[in-house]
Amino acid sequence: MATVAFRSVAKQFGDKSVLKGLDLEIADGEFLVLLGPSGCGKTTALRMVAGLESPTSGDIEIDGVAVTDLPPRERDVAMVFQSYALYPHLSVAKNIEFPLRQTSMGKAERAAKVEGAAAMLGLADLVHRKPRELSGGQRQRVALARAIVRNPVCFLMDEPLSNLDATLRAQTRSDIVTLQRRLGTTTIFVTHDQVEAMTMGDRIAVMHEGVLQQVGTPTELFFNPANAFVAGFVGNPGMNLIHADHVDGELRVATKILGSAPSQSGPVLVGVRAEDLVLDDSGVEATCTGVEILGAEVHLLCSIGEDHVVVRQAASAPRPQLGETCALRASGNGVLLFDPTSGLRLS
Amino acid sequence: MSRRLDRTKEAGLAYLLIAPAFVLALVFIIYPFMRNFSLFLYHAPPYPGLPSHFAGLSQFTTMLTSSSFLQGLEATLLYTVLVVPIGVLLGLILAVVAHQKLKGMAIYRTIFATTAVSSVAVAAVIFGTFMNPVLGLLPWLGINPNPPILQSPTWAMVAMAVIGLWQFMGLSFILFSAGLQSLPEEVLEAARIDGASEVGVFWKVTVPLLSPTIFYAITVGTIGAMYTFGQMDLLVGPFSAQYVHVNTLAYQIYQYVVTEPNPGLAACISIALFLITAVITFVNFRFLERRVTYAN
Amino acid sequence: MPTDVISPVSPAVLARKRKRRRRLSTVASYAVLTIGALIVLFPIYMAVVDSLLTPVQIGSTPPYFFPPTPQFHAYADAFNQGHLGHYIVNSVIQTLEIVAGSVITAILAAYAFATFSFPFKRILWTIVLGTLLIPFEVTIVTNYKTIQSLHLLGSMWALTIPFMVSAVGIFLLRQAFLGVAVEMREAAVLDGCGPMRYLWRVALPLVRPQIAAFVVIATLGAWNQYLWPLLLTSNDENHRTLQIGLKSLNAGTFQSLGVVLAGAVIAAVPMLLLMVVFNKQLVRSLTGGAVK
Repeated sequence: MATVAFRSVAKQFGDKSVLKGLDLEIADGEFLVLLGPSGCGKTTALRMVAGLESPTSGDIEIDGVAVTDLPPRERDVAMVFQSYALYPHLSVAKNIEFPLRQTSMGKAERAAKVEGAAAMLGLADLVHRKPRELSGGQRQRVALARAIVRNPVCFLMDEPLSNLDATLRAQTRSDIVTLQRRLGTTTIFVTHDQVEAMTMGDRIAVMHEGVLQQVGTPTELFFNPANAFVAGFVGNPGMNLIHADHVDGELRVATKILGSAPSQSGPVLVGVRAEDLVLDDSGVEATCTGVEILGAEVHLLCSIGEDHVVVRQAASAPRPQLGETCALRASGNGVLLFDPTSGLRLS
Repeated sequence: MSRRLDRTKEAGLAYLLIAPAFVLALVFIIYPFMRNFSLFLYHAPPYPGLPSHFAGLSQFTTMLTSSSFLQGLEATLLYTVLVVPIGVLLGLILAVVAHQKLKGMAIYRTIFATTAVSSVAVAAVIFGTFMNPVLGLLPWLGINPNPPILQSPTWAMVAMAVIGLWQFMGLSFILFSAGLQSLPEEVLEAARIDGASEVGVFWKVTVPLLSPTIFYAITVGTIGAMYTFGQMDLLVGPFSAQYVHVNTLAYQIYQYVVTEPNPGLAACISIALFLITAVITFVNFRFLERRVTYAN
Repeated sequence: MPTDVISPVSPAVLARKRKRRRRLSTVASYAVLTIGALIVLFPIYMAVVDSLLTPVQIGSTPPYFFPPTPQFHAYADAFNQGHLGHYIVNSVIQTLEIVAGSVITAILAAYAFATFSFPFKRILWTIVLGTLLIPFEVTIVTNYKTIQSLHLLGSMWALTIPFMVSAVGIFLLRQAFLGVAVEMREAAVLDGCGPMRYLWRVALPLVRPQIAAFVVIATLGAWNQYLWPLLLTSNDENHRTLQIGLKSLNAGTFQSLGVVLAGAVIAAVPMLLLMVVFNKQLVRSLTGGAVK
């Protein structure tokens, strides 16, 4: 158990800047998710904690001690790779045992720990198999067992669920969370899937193009996004972002009223959640570009000018046909305003 | 009906296409190989033109126990033992070191690969000039043994082996460089995170994962070494009594084809060399292949 | 709270430690590689150096490691008295013939094995693979006789025909053809394309990289050949190849090592160029099948 901290960490590959001054603290025992689209620098950040990459500037601290110069083997962290990275020439038992063999632990003690880790992940029957004989889900559990067996101060997980099929993914998600709660080990979990992030993380750090956008609990990110990127990225579907003009307390798109907000003025980017956007004849003009029927609920895909929005409504409610024009309005007070150029939250 | 005709046509075309290769293979590879097994039963006639005299297996067995064969076998095996393990090890180590992401690695990789493309004649000539007792480099270094290296029972084969090693290193290096490139980088990273030192990663992960390549390099190297001929011919040939220690079996075959034609004896040695190499390769296969782990 | 966590060692010390650790293993790596490279390059380097020295300079102690006044007449001598020019031409012809022949037979045979089904296919393929196990040295007894009885002894064909089939080539190209999707052939058949035209217009262009790889390795093998040209041209200066020419140069009555080494350099340069230019193909063919 330990805290992990990024202190002004930056990374450049040649003239490409992958991380730009990351400052982030992870509390002891916390499950922190690094979330963002591919190329945002989250995997690079993770690998720096592991010691597989070195920062161009800045420091990584584990438990308050700068470890930036330490090689991976001296950091006492464990990593679960996206491809699991199991040792193909070793059996499951020997794979799990491998980290322990680098220590001075005795044979009996190692065997006991391997057994414990294998049991915790339901691998007891598979210990003699080789990785190529296992399914994807089984391999992933071996990777997890190998990570927990030596009780490191921190788990690092690099999109471990991406290679699993959907049903297995959901099950494994909760298994990992349960495991982490039981062990209490600080965990940094990288993913591009915001559903994973929202369901698993104590806190989520959203990253985009090497810059930390916001860090907070799932609820905070959902209800209080710091900028337009976070608003649009988090949630399923993400928040709708509509360009509008704020005039006299009204939000107007092409003379029609979208909603209202306390007075500021000028062009704004309006954030409205899908469930807060309703069909209303007095509202803004939109064209229906798609209808997704999800059972009891329906997602209407519409376009307002250049902006694309999603409207959630009950399947039983009346809805336009594909290609038809309709009118939308933001209901309730859940409207957020963002600066159209910088994306920063205004209200 | 037409389908059967199509199939016949297809087969006919196929046979036609493989014919050139097969004819050549039959005439120049398979037939000569097989003919050894009849030739070796005949003694050479005392004068050319006279019919050969059937000797059965006695010629073969006599040859097997003859001192020249045994010495040749010893020389050949010594050469192989000197060249193959060291060549594989050096190629592996250099390939691993050159595989890192440091500046200038491409230049080093090109340099190490050069010996693989140089011919045996070039290598032998160059090393030969080093050993020249009057003008060569070794005398300058103080290495001026009496008898000269190539006539020394102990050092002649070592000198030949150095030449062979110089050449084999290049091939070994190329094989392992390519092998390293296809290793899953993440498995090595996992080993580093799991606490293994760089040397530990090498022995516990890299080498097992490279075992198919190691096995291939040993096999190819062994076969090449057992049939070694070029350096001996260029530096020492034609064979004479003082050069007994470098008279490899392949060279003896050459002798009995060209210098003192004796097809029966040449066939005997050919068969013997082939069988011995086959056995070694087979043993290699059984012993090592079991420990080869295919990552799959 | 975050601001009162200070690392126990000052950043300056840490930076120095960082550099020192990295320098150590990097230095060791470069040392190993440089030593290795020097050992590997040394023979070729000295050959070039000595080929540029005067005969007097060659024999002197300590030896010259760099030509003070490069002399090129060693090369001229190699060409004139050593007849290397003639031998080079022979080698070029020999190499071209062998490569052309083995590529063609390999393409045809590999195409057939990869695309068609015919009786005894498996046995025939096993035979092809079997020839891989038969090294050339065990066939020279009979091959020499065969060439004699075919009355080819005095010609270039004797040097080249036995090598116009290559199991390695057939193996590499069969793998290549197998990699061409079956649908391609089916589409071609539907378009009314016959098998030979399909080979010429569709399959061959698609396997060009593998053909290139084989050409490179076949060229290397042919150019560097020693045993067979030796057998045939020891007494035949007309058809002698460069490698054997090098041997005769070495065994000749020249006092000057410089000329001999010039010959070695001349013989080595083409393949070195080949390796530099066609590195990718060379590696691919050397490892084809061995490494995935």
